[in-house]
Amino acid sequence: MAELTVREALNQAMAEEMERDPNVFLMGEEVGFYNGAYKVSQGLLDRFGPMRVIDTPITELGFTGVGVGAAMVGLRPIIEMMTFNFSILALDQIINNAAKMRYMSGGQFDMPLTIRGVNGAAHQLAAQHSQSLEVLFTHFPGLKVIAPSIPKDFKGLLKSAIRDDNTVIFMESEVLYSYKGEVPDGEFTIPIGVGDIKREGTDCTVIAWGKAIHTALAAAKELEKEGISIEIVDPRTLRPLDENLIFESVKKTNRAVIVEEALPFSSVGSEISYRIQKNVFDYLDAPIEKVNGKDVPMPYNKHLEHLALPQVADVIQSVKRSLYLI
Amino acid sequence: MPTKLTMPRLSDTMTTGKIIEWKKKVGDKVEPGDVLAEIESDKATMEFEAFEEGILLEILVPSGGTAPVGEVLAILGEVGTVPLESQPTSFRQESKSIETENKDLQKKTEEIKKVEGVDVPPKDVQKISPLTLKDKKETVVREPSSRILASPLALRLAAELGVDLTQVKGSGPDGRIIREDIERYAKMKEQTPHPISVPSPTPPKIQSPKQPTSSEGTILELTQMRSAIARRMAEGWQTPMFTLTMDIRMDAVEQIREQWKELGKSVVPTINDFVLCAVSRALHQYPQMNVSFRENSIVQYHDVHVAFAVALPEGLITPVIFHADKKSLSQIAEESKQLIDKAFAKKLQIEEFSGSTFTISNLGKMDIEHFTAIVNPPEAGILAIGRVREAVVVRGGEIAIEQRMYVTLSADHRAIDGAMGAEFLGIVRKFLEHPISLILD
Repeated sequence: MAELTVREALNQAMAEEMERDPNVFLMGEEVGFYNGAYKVSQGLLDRFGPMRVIDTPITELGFTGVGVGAAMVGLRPIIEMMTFNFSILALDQIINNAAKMRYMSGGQFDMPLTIRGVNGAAHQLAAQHSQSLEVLFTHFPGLKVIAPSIPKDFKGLLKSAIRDDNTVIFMESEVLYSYKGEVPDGEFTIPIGVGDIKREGTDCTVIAWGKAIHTALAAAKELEKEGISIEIVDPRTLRPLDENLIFESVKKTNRAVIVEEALPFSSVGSEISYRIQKNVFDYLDAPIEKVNGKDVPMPYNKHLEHLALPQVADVIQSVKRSLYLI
Repeated sequence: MPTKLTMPRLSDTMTTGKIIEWKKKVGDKVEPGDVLAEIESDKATMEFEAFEEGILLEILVPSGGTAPVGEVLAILGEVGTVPLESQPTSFRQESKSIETENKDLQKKTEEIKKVEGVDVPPKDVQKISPLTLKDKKETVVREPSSRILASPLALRLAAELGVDLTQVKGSGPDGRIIREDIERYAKMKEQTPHPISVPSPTPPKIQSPKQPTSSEGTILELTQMRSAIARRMAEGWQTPMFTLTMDIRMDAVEQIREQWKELGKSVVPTINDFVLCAVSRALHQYPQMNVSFRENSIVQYHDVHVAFAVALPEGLITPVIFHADKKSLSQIAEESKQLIDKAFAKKLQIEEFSGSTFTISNLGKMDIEHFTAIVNPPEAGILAIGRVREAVVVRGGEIAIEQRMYVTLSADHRAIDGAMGAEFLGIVRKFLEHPISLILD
């Protein structure tokens, strides 16, 4: 088993899929000659040539539309958003065409489109470029939404996303690109819609995905020192959601804390919270807690930014509150 | 036209019934013969069947509720009608105007507010760590009538463990009862001795969420069966009764039972079966005993239907061997075994435990030597059977060891006199001491 960064794992996933299927191609801003704004597509232009690794102008609505058209005629485009903050410009193509084409054509057109890129805050990117936008996509039937947290999951799920005949929104994180982890050698995929227990525990279930998993893991270490054992559930796919994995864990611990970087109102965590109370109500011994980014536009000031993002201390506090310790 | 479904009279003595469980819910289609609910009468749990088809429009007495015979339990409408729940309120409560309802609502809200005002503890009391729960005394105690705050898990656990929530102090915010509170309370309960004064072969369930407790002990709600027993026994106690005891030699019965066992038959008649058989023959031969006292007359029954008492965890039931005098010993043995099994499974039908003309009650199995029973009205007699014991007797100047059994007749003196009772017991003894006569006929 090799130790890879998330960046290398994603690069491998795309290279392997492009090798495997000539219909797969990558398109986006700076993906080719610059080898990617975050170097995720390093070496792909040299290896597969300009027909399959295509640099675009700064026109998200335009090149997402090209992706939709290409998918309709049988290609398998990977559209890279430099950040999902820019995908806001492409929402009409994503929501009205990519998500609906298969349905509105009565199944005549598949939509094997993968839209991937950075989601969430990094460092001082300010109000417009720091947003966690998963809920913009999980809202719509016709879209699958994936937000992995470790290199193995990034690789296995990106490969599944590229092979899927529906539009998949694949959300990465700038601060995770250099995060290292073990990745199995050789060919493997991870099925969409299957979650993973990132840490087993007995006292409280913490549900998180993407970058927030690492916040939760750090909190688990701190809590362990106080004798509190938390179980961390990573759904990995937000839609379709592996809700049974969450329910089983909550049945065991009788408590749930949801950690997400997104804003609190109408978040994916809100939906998960609803489903927990609806399905395992009788197992809850405390109200469900949610840890979110603060309900404000992201401040540019780095101290304020730190305060606006969910931190380890916030997770610890919510876990303790659900255990009636504070 | 909607039909009213009323509490059926499932036995002669039934006055109220309890809905154990509704098998259909509002809006369900009902076919004739469908089981609507299970109803517990004073003697058994029985199925309440539909006689006509329709839609169950409304349930007025919910599962667990009790209602007198004849009370409307539910409303059945014609197929195609809409359940009452989804119809406007005015339709259901015609007499009550919406205005008064609003007033009621307002009043209720005010009451709730008032109670909550009393309820809310000072802010600093809310912060209680479960790690220090054991020594915290300032947890919130609620007014018994106020709304109880409890986590969903705590509610479920309380129901499972039979914990009365009004007795539990909550340690969560605003006095919310959480899992730990329930578990601690249940454990404490377990360590405290149960306040029961009446001994019972199987201890009844002490706690269920509904059972209130008072300072002198736990209050046990009467089951249908228990209230029937109480009523019947009080009635029987009013009967002017006398008792006669006789000691019967049982060696011959024991020998026959041994032989029967050696034959490897599946059902070997019990002592009780022999007594049932002997009593039925005796009643046939001596019909003056097979009677019932009425206000101005005595009924002498043509048929001999002998009941026998079966002790169940929840009380007593008396299944009947009908025409016992016409049945062979092995038939009686077979039948009594089936009836006992059914009684324990709570599957006895009403006709299987009513209509007897005489009863026997046997505590021999529980090592009782001799006891007197209370007649079960309207019957005029009951025979109480003690255990078969080894006894030293003097027979013709010689000391002998014999198997012997005391039987005690309690009889209604209004219909039967002492000498009659003695004569009857003599016949019973003759059959039991010469059991060949029970087998040959």
